[in-house]
Amino acid sequence: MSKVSMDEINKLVSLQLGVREVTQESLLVEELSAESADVVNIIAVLEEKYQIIVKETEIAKIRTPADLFALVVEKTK
Amino acid sequence: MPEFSTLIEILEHRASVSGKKTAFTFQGKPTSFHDMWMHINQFASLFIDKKVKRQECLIIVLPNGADFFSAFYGVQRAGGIAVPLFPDSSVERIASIAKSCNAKVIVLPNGSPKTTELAAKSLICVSVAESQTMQHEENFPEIQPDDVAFLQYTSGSTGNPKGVMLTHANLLTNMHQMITGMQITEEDIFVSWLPVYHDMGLILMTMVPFYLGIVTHLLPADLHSVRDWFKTIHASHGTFTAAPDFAYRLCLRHAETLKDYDITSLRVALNAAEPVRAATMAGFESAFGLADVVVAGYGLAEATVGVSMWAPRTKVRVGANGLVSVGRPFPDVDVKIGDDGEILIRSTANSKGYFNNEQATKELFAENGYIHSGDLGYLDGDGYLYILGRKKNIIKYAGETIAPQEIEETVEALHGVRYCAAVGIDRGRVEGEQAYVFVEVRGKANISEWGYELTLQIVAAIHARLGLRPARVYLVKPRTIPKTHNGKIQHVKLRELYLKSALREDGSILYPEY
Repeated sequence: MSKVSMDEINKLVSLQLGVREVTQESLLVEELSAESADVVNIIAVLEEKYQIIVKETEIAKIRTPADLFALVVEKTK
Repeated sequence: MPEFSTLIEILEHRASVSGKKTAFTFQGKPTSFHDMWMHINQFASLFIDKKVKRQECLIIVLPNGADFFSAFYGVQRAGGIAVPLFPDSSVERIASIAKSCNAKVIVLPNGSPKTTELAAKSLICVSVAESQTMQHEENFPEIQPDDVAFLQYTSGSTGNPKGVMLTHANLLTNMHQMITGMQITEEDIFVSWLPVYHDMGLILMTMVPFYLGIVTHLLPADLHSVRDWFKTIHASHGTFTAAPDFAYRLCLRHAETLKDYDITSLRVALNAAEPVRAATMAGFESAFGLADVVVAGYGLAEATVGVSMWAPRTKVRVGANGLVSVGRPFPDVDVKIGDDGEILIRSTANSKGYFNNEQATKELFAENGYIHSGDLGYLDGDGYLYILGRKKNIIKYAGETIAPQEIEETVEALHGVRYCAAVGIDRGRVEGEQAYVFVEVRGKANISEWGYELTLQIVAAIHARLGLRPARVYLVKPRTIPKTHNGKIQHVKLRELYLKSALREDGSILYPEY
């Protein structure tokens, strides 16, 4: 499995939300107008792609692509 | 309680006998029955001024808030038919529904950017603000119980939105049925964030309290923060609320931060509008210290809204297959199961049919005045109803019914798309069923570049039209989507192929690579 990169996460978020401009600090809900379902769908893709499991309580803490990146890095250590 | 025969009579009565009482609060700001009635009359005067004919349709594209009620009941006061639509509806969707119900006037928020585009399509756009300078009209038309009060547009299973006609008599009948069946009294306090432009949020959560003259605390229709829901129940000692299963699951995710609020004043927390999970109900009650408060219910727009609900304060019944019962049908609602397992409903709250759509209306009715619900289910020996699933292929997204065809048409209109199929899949997550979209494309050279661009367009187009984003979009090889001999998409087969990873394994999925 390839190592996760910030660019990959940004691209994935961009694809899931249909929004071109995504940076690591973009706020998913407030700036990119993601619904909670969208955040969970992004996480489901990450789970499949990186074979990780994300707990419900961890989902609630995700705010930005950088948080997603940190989560995947932590889980694939 | 006095006998009423129209919604307008109810509101007029409330304004005259309890004018100072709060009808509703929106984000904490109260509006009295007197003020609500005044705004309704002002708005109705605007329509009389615009020469609206009796039983002419007017489209309302407003979010939750005081303006919605002014417009919704103002239209009816002027003799028209209100047609509420999702506030984020695209210009194309508004125009297409206007065409299907012959509406010429659209009510939009003040200064809406959609005004110019709709005006270019010869539609008249008005705002509630405009009506507030109106001279008060004296001669409003007489409203009859059999007049259509509003059209509830449903996407149905074919993707051609259909307007369910609901008369004043239908609405009053169903309100009676629900008040009796749910044991709602004048002591109840309603709290709701459900959309007021959709049946459960509109009829059960606002019309019923207006009818009884009790307060409803309304919040914006989004769940970015479930905290406000809890905060409002806590602060107002709310006793009655309603939401689809996913909203209760979402609360469980945020249980830690919600535990500061005491919601034990709740008598009923109705769980309806999408499949009800036993685990959600048990989890929610145990997390927030409730017992026999979360109850499952069932309904559909074609029967006005409510068909059945589990009686509050009684232990829920779970069938052998783990299904939660949605209770016995409300009084005077007759439910039977057809030969093919479909739930058939006969009630005086049943709609007369779909506006301007004889074919669909004909198909709605079964024999002896029963209507087809489109849902499969069974009744146990004691007459308790259980819902098994849907007869037709539709996607249940956050309590709303989405026809796959709507997504498919939207995507097929994009350049570079050969064919599209959308299916609903529930992977057991909190958010429930999600849309999975499969798009046949020609060629795969440089797909890592154009695949990204096309996917962006697909997601944005679906979001603009339907207000949802798919869980996954896959660009696939031509002829990946299974079809019958006469070209109908086999949604069930496609879902199966996808779930057993067959599409990935045989190389049908071209993009993305994960």
